[in-house]
Amino acid sequence: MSEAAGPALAWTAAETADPRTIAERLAARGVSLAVEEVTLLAELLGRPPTWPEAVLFGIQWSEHCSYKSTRHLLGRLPTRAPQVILGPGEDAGVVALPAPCDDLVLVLAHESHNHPSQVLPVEGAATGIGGIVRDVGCMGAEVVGVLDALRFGDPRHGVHVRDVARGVVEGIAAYGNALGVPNLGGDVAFDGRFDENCLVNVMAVGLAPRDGLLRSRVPAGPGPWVFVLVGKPTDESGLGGAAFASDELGGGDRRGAVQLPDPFLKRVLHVANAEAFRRVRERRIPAGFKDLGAGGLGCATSELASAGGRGAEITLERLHRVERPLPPEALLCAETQERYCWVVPEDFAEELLGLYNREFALGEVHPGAGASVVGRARDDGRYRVLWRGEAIVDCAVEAITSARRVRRAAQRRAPERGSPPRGQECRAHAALLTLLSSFALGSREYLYRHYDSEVQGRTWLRPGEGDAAVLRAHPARPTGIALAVGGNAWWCAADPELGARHAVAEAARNVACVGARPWALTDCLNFGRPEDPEVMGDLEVTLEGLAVAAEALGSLAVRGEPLPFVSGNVSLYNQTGERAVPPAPVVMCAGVLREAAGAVGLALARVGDFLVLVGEPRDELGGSAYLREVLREAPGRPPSLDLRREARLQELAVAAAEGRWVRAAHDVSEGGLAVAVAEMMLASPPERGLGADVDLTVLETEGPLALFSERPGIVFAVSAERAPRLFQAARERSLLAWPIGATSGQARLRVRLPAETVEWTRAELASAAARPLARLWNEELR
Amino acid sequence: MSGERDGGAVAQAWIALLAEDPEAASALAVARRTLAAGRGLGGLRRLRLLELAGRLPERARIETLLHESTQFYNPHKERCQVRLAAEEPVPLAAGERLVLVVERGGLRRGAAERWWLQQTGERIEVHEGIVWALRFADGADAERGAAELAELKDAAHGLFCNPHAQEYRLSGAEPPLPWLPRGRESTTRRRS
Amino acid sequence: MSSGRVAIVQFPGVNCEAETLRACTRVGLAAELFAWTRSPAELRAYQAYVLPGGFSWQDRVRAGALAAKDPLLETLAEEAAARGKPVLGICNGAQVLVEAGLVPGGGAVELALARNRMPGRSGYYARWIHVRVESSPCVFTRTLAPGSVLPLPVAHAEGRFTCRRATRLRALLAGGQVPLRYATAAGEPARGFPENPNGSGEAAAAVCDARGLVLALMPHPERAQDLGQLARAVPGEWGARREQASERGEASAAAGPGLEIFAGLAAHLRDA
Repeated sequence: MSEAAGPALAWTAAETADPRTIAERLAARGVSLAVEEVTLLAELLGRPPTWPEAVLFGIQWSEHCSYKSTRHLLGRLPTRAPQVILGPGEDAGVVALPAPCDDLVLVLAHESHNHPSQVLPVEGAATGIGGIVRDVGCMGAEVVGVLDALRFGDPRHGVHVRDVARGVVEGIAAYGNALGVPNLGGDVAFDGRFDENCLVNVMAVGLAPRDGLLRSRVPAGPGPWVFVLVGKPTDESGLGGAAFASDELGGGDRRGAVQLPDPFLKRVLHVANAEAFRRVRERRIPAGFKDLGAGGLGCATSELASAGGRGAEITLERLHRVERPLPPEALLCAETQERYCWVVPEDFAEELLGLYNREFALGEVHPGAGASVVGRARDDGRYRVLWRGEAIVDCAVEAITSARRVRRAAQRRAPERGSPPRGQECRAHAALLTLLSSFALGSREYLYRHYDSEVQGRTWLRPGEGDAAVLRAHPARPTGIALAVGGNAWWCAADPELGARHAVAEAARNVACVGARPWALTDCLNFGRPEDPEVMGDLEVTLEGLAVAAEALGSLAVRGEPLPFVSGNVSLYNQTGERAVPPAPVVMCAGVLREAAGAVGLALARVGDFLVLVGEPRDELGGSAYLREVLREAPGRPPSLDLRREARLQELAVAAAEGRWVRAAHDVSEGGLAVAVAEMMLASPPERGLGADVDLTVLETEGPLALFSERPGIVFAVSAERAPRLFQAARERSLLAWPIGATSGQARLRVRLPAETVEWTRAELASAAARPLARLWNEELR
Repeated sequence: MSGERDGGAVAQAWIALLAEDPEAASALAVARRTLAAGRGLGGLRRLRLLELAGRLPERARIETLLHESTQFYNPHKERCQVRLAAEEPVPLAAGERLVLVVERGGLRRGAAERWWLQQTGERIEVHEGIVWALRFADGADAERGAAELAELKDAAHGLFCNPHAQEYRLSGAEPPLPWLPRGRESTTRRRS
Repeated sequence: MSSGRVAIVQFPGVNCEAETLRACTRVGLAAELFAWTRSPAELRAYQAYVLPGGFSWQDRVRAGALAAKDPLLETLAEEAAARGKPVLGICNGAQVLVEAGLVPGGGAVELALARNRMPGRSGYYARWIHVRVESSPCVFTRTLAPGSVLPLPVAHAEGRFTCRRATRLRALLAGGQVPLRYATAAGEPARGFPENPNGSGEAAAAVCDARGLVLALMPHPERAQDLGQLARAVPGEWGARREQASERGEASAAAGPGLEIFAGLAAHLRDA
């Protein structure tokens, strides 16, 4: 490209000498390039960029796409294990399943959609679901479930906090329900530190034939290969969305950067994609496939080309698009939702277009939607974009896709200690009701009843029924898939390293409680500004904590191997002004059950069943909801965690489920034993009128510790005949086990403590637990 | 006709999509293809109509409040025109026939009302309806066509309002203000 | 040879077709997906039709309103009226049948499936409820004794059967055209939300035409075809069955309560 005759450049060669002015000028037009990146880009191209190039590189070099501040730290996470087929790097991770489902693979992805959800909650959260579903779908998988981990502000802190919470739930429901992918739960927390920056983490799970995985690259072979864009007509929506996610909130009106999701079109696209998958598999047509997310067509095609060791030539006139005129950088980089890109042999393109345009009539479903051939692969590694006869992007494809790295200073901080609780009298009766009626611990039923968790007919254990959701992998085979989320917001805030260990342990323990072997992990790291050394310090220790825990907890899948992280995401700049969110890793664990039919729920089921606590002694109140919600003290450091014992505890839970010894199992987490037993009781059908008689004097500790300590443990409900096996299994694994009571036929919870016996009716517990979310949706709280 | 109702003022917010509306496009295609009265249809648009009733500030402030909140419309994909008196214009073309459709008993936007109260200290009512703007080809009997398309009677007659769950009102391109029936039900916001 | 070819009619936005197809297959029916882009005439080759759940045409104008105008529905109406072929609409499919006037029958639109009425909430609502079988000529409930109770899941935002004429639903009930009503686990009439999850008139969960061939059913029987799919909070006889089967490791294969609806169709086609 000659400078004399070529397209207009974003700045002149002479202006490169003053990169700061250039960076400011670009920022004013919505392109985020750091000062040193202005210089770097001009050096890389050997000239100043064209405007579309500046936009493209601005997005590719954003934190969202490049992980430039964190990539070097992410190497700390264990990502290899025998079951891993594809680790982090593409849109989703892939793991093998055991026989009889070894012809299938499990596809997992995890993303955040925090900034957009704060600005426009309904559309932002819906787009989050739409994006994560594409990440899994583009591997050639059928998407079989989504989960979400939500961190909202304190609902008493203002109408916008409440609007965000209600809007996010509405958006998730509107998108997921219409798309026909079951919502399998997740978690939600409320904390004033998220008032101005909510977190919306979304996870998706898919199943694909093992030999039918699609990769995001131009296939090997002579081709000729063409790029086929399918889906919604390109518009200008979300232009700069990735740069937006890497920008802190607090600027002007950022609503313009939110994309507009369309689950209906996506549904039809997925039905059409499934047919396309079938044809390329059956006829062994080599193909590459990728979703369009941040950076739109430019990022997708350059990455497809680069991953295949090729280049690409894209002709922007060929895109199907909205009727109004669009500038070339919008055609290239807009984040219009509901689009995918194929790379197929030229002689298959005609048939592929017919499939989308005629058989599935995309244009009738959404005005202007369809499929079009937009370019071809080049063998010389150049990435060229043509517009009105000019090459408006012309560079080596590696220049676009090779990783940027930024060194950031990191400073580690001392974990919070917290003061030991002042010897306040424990009013046990009121304390449990306070906990159950708090936003932290109240029932999530009001929320998840907005979601369809049963569409597709695979769901075996729904949100609220067990510690993890369970799907059947195949209707004619027993194998089950379990999914659960971990990441206690207060614990990670007080001690990021220990909090991160707990996040992995809790997610894996939840999976083990239903009887599944922890199989793979995904994560999203939600943090503040990386320029802040404390934020980087928190990130470092968080990764250390995640890694250490994952290394310790993989043996139930393959003995001696770590539990691998197969996909993940880093979300930075969750910050408004000086106010950053606390370090907030969210971990998802996928587990595998030998038999979905044996999945263990959390509900009490039979009068006379013993209740058995297995786990750590009740000797710490650190980090507890009791300190925070009842005594209103700083909760301080999370409870200690012995990862070797944790591994044995999870092994016991899986053995108990696989041997069908236990009828219910529930993780002791927030709120301690009292909340755990109350939840087991409330999960049983009210018509059955079941209750629990519990004697905590066996724990040989004071009332508050016995009731509310959050040290790890599991409560099992087990028949009298099988209880000895459970105790023996605990002994064999050097685990402590206490018989703490039995299921009763009276609808009440009765707890004997050293100093008193306390009793709650089922109705009062149920109404306390139902209160917080019903109020959030119906009242303005103070 | 004035914008007064029960001592307070009424403001209408007419909200239309910026981009092409797939819902209107589908409805138009179906009406033309399958309904006798629809054959004369030349165009169809869908607008959301909100009515704010109570003690209201001046126009500029109303416009700012509607724009700031996520409760009323999304400025990235919709435009909003505020109308304070029946003499004021609406975002409609001359000759368009209007079919207003509301839930039986009306539809209140509880969350929007609470947001308004929080922001302004004023307790207002926010009502919502859908307005279909029908443009008939020259020579078609627009008034009769609109009436026929409005009420669903059977597979071959009517579309916009199922009278068992909804009610409708007809108008030319200068609709009354207020126009929405006063409702009893309250609900949180719905998808727009 | 299987006893009947069933078309699962797939409008764009429908999303329950796969599990609906599986339920039909489980009871021995030869079910196939039938895409909306195909010619209506091809529908005549089938002996029965199912409109599965989802969001046909994205609920544009109103849930079910646009699919109700599709030429495919005209053919379904003819096949039901002239040849006595059964039609089952589940959830969104029910909305389509009501909007098309196939239920309660005769062509005129006599009902609406209106926005749920739920104290303290609005919009989409998903949970397991109970329905009680009423005396009815309905072919889909023919294997079930009146008074028996089925646990089934509902998942919708617009499921409230309502009619401008206040007495119409009661008359339909008296005439055997409300084969399933929301009830308690013990089979008592639903006392309010959430037993009646949407405020439906006469607690109607389903309404059929006078001959009992065309059924608009709001709950999702296809999501209750396996015993193990039963929600853990379901009490009563079905809950006990699930627990026992689960302990024996048989919950996967055992039939769930929803399969009865498809079994009714299969029995009807066998006899027809």
